[in-house]
Amino acid sequence: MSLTKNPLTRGLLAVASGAILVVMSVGPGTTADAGSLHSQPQAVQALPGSGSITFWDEWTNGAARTAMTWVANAWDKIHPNWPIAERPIPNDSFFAAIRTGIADNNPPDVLQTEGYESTESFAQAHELANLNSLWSQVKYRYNQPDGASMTGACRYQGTWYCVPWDWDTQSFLFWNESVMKQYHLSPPTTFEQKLADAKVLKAAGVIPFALSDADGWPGMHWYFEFVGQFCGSKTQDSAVMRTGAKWNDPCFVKSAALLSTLAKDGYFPPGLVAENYNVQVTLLESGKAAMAEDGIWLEEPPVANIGGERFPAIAGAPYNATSGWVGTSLSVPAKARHSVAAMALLKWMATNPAVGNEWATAGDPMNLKGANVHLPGLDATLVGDVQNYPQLPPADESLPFAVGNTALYALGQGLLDGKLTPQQFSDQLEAAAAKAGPGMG
Amino acid sequence: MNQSVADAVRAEPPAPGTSKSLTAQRWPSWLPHLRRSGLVACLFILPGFLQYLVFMFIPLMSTVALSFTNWTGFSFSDIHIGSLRNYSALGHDPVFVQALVHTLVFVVAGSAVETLLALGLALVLFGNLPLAKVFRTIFVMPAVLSPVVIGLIFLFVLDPTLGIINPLLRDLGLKSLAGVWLSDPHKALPILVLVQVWSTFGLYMLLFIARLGMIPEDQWDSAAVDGASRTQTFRWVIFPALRSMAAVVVLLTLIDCLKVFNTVFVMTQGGPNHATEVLSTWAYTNVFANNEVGYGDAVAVVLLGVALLFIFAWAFWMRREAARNR
Repeated sequence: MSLTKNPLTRGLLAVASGAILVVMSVGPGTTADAGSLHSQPQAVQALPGSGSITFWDEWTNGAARTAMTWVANAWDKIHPNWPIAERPIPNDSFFAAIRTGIADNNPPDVLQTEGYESTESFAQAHELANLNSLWSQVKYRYNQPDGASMTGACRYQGTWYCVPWDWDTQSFLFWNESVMKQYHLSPPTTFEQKLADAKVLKAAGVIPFALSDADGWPGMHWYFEFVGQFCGSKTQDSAVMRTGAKWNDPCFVKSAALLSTLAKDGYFPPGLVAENYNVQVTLLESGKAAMAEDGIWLEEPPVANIGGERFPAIAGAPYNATSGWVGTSLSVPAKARHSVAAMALLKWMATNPAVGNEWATAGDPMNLKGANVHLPGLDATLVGDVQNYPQLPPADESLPFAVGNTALYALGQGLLDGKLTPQQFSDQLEAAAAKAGPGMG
Repeated sequence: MNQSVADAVRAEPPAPGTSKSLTAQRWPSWLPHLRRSGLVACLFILPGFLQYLVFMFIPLMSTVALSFTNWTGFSFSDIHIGSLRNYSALGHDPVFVQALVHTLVFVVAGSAVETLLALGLALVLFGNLPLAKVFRTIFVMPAVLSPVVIGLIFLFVLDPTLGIINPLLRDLGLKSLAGVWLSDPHKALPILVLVQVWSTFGLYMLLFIARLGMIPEDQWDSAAVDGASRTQTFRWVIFPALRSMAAVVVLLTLIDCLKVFNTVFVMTQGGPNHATEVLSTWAYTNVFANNEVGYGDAVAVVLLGVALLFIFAWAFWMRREAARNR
């Protein structure tokens, strides 16, 4: 009897072949690169040995997905002996996945995080490699290498643990062009004009501002728009770092009060605290709502019929800070198996202008010199203009997780649904922050 | 069968041609000894025991052990056991207290409504009502859906702006009943309890119907001959027959409500402002969002304690019932 005619044998052979293929594809390469972190090659072409560079990120869709696919293909062509083995992980399970990988001593070679508190948490646990040397080689490529948003994202106790990657700017007001045209409204240039338009829209049965806050952060981004204008970046940073300012100082209470007033006056959709962010986008794009405060990611990729402008200034507000921050950053875990190859890849990504351009062309803003994003819904100069304002690192990302990820969002929901007064919101936020200690600044 | 009879049966030689003699011829001579020693039974139990050990007992004990640490969840070398800090902090955590109360509300209200609804509909649909089988199928269908899918469906249905409930109410002339549903802290928890009830009661209804089908015909006949009213038939025929099944259903609904997580997480994430926070979601938030694994595990251990309390109470009640019936 022929071996291949026996179904059992055929099955076993198939399983064995599959197993061999899997082992060949994911197995470790040579350990020729397992040298000191400080001995990375100066030229990326001189990568010894072979293997796969495992790369975990949350770029599952959109512009970053397109760009990362291009990066992987380009790198693999240059370094066929060190291909990128990328694992895109959905955002909602990303943190749990990477933490499990790290705790289990099975980290990737390159780890994308959202910086700030993530960087601090991983660095405190000694799970990230020191990237001071790499940073000194690539920082010349960045627009604001020493800005608070950059250092806050990646530097912890004087050491750089990540390379800042793409860039998020909040501080935009978007509008549905059809709705504005229908009601003969021009894009608002001042906050007061915006409120006047909102009254017209509300009277006509249109929701003035799309806001859905089940996730907690959209409502707090409104709050930080006001904090940026009433308190300024230094005061906010001081409150985050617990170096003097407190979350129940008058400017913070004033910011909360303005948000509370907008909610009470019915400028936001009903039931907003139980609706997720996708509803907010749907309301704006469908024309059920006329305007929305949001980040630049709303236009990644650009959406037809949606226009945008920098969030209008409030009359008499003393500051003009905008929220801008490192959206994603790239680290090398301390226990990465191919750390030198990983660092060579990061250096190539940061210093090769083609990579930054590709990323920006795909529609994902970068803070790299010359990598100019083109977003048709927004004036090309506007994106750069917003980046030139004093940049506020996002407080919800900079505060300790128990405050920034949980207490702040829950209290924001209480403020928006009228269960908390602005003073109660501010006092309880201050109490939670005092209990948790300083954040990442 | 008492021990002496069992020994006699075992010692009796098999009759020629019986299945027992065939078995004796086919199996090796040492197998009966193995069976008597219990080794075979142990071998059969082993896979299940290992599964229980690896996937239930060890994680459970790990959770208890970690609840005494301040582990952040990043590195195993950072685990230091020996602190009661997490348990003392529970008392000062208003969200934990809220979550505990909500869990108890979920368990008591959910279990009661689920059991009564299942029982009531079982009694209605057990008879020869027209379309009874169609309704049975309709009521059981939610039980086969994933809780996540159920959560997403209700999230859409109840959405005040894009959902279908409010427009429906308006079209029916019931505009005053339209509301913000899950955004209202007073309505959100009852809605979640009702969603939980809706998603599982059909299965328990089927269990009751199956038990009703096992009531001997002569009992129904006797009740009819004696001229028993519907209430009397329920009191003296149906209720005694359903008693043990009701106990099982209560236990199952308690377990369902204690471990509720998916629908709450999908529909409200414990919000707004913790208005629907239950122990399982608060444990999850602390472990996975706040990086406070030790504290989150302490919350989970409290949930375990609450579950054990309910289970012990149930077992105590069952034992008392059994003693009363003897």
